[in-house]
Amino acid sequence: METFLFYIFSAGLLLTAFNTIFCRNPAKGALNLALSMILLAGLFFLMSAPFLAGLQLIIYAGAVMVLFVMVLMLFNLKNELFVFFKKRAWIWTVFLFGLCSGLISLMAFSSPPRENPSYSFLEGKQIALKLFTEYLLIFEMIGLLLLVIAIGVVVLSRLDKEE
Amino acid sequence: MLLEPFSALQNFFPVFLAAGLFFIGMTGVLMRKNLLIILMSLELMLGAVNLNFLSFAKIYGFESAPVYIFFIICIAAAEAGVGLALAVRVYKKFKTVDIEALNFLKE
Repeated sequence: METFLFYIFSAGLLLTAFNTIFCRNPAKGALNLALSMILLAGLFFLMSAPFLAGLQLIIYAGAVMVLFVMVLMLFNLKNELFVFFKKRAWIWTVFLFGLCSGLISLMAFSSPPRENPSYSFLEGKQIALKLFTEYLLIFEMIGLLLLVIAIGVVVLSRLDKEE
Repeated sequence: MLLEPFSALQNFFPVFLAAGLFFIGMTGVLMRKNLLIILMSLELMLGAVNLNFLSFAKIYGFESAPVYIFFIICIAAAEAGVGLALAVRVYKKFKTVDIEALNFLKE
C-alpha cells in the first residue's frame, strides 16, 4: 500500500511539474506548483520524515505560494502567445538527465546501501537537538539572513519614492 | 526473476525521481521567458534538491541531513522573497515580466 502510494505521488509530482513549466497562464502554473509541493510533502511523509513534510507543507505550499499568488495578483498578465524562449534547450536537459541517471545507476551497483538502517534521526526531537547544539551558529546566521532580506525587500520596493 | 539484476535500483528510485524533477525545473528556467515561471521552476529545482538529500540520507545514513534540508527550505523562502521583489521592480519599470525586455543590458 505504501509503495503504491509512493508511485502514485511520484507520477503526480512529475505531471504537475510538467504542467507548471509548460502552461500558458501563470496563475494555473502557480496552482500546479502548489499541488506539486503538496505531493512532495506527501513523499517526505512516506519516506518516514513527518517533521520535514510538515515544514515543506507550511513553508512551500503555504507561505511561498501565497507570495507567488499575491505577486501574480499585482500584475496584469495575459496568456502568452509565444511561450518558449529557446526551443532547443530541452535537448541539453534530456542529455544531462541521461548522464545523471547513468551515474546514479553506477553508484547503486557499486556501493550497496548500509545494513539494518534506523531512521530515528528523521524525528523532530533529534533534528532539534542537532539544530540547537552542533549547528547553532548556522541557525543564528540564517536568522540574520532572513532579517537582512526582510529589510532589503522593503527598501527595494520603496526605491522609486525616494527619487 | 527477470528483474533480479535491477533490484539494486529499487532503493534509488527517489534519487531518479529527484533528478527528473530537477531537470524539469532546469528546462523551465532555460526555456520560459516569463520571469514568474522562471522563479517557480527555481522552486521546483530546490524541492528536487531536498528530495535528493533526504533519499541519500536514508540510503547511506547521513544523520545531519534533516538539518541541512531545514536550512535549504529557509534559503529557498528567502530567495523567493527577493526574486519576487525584483520581479515587482521590473514590472513597475517595463510594464512586463518578459525577460526579453531586459536585454538592453547587453548594449
